[in-house]
Amino acid sequence: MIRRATSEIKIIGINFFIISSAFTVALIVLSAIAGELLHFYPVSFEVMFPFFVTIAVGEWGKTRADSNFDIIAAQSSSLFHWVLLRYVITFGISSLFAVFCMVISSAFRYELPLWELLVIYFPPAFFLSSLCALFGIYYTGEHIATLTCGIVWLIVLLIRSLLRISGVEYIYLFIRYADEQNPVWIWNKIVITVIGIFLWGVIYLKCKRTDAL
Amino acid sequence: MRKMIAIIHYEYKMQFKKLATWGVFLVVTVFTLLDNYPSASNLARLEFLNEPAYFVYRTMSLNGFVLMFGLMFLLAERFPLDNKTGMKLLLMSHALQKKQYILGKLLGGFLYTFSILCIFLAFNTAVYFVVAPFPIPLLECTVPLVKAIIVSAFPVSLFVSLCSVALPGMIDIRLFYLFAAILFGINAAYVGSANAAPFYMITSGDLTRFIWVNPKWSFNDTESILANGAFLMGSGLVFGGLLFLRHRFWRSE
Repeated sequence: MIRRATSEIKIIGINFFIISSAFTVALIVLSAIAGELLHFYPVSFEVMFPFFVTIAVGEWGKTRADSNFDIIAAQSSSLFHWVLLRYVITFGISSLFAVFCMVISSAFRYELPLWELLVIYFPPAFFLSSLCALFGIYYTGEHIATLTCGIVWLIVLLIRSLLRISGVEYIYLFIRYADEQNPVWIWNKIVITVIGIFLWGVIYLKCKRTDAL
Repeated sequence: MRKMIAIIHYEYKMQFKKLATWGVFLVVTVFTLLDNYPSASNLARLEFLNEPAYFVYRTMSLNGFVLMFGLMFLLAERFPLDNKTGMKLLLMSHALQKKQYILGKLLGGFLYTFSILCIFLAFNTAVYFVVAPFPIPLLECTVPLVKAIIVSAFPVSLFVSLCSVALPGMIDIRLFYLFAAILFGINAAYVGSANAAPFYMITSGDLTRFIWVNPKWSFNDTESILANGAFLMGSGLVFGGLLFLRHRFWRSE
């Protein structure tokens, strides 16, 4: 398993680490210089970092768009394990950058405890990246998964006024960004995580079907 | 010149025929019609939706913004794809000049973006004109549409297409996506007001005030309109121009 993980990290390449580091450093600098007017934590860890993780999963952790997909699908005993491993590595490493950014930026501006930052970050990142992994297993075109998730991300950002409709607050992806005081935000995060797990159920079924062919 | 026109023609035709283009177009059109369709509930929700100029303004600033984001992804792979498939090496082996190749790609991308945006605006305005439950003179729809195409669609297409085609030719495409996501994210977070909008607004900058202005707000800040126009057209041209300065981009001539 460790050998496979090491080989996946080699495939991902050095650019992933350079860009992730640059993005993390940029956010840390922003946390130091941004004034009180900016809701730094929701903007950074609920909106921006989850989309960065989505880009990472869609671009560096690509599955069907990988030129070797047919060989991997034909020779691996379980396609799902390969998809999951690739996802876990890209999601895991970029999330480590996110946690590092949270810890360092908390030194500059302590507004929220670390556990709360993790709860703000994880569900949207998990949902968007899982959606990207789902599109990645369906579409052969490069960048299509990132494009689709990008449009979802942008539309969700634009429709925050829908929070006036009762019930939307439970499924709105960026609840702390749109309405920081909303009392149901923990429930919202649970619902989004559950939807993310459901997406993995769909990925599992799709992989099973491909394995059976 | 003929070679450059051939590249423009190829770029335009190939992008236009791409299924993903029409997929993005369809998704954004559905989003536009859900948001702006002149139904009783939308007319009650949006105070000025009975004005065709407001409809065009909203379609351009809010929904055109999502369309541009989608097209940005599709345009960004033009140079990286040529590198990956070996097409660039093939082109370099012919008597094709660097400026012909770059200009062909950039202008092809621009014409494609501009056409899709114009079709998008015209289609949605036509739907609005046909289904609106009140009579609208044709001119009331046509004038803001033409204004939107000239003052907003043109500079926005120039900015999006030139940046999206040129920058991934110089930097990692993923880094470009990240920069674009940050800029579009900041734009999405902006809420309109009576004051001048920041110059870096893409589709909701002060240029769109030529299409429609909230009657409750008096606006005559020419500087911010110029700043918005200069940002869109200037940065598009600068980023497009940077490729010409990059020596490693093409074989030595």
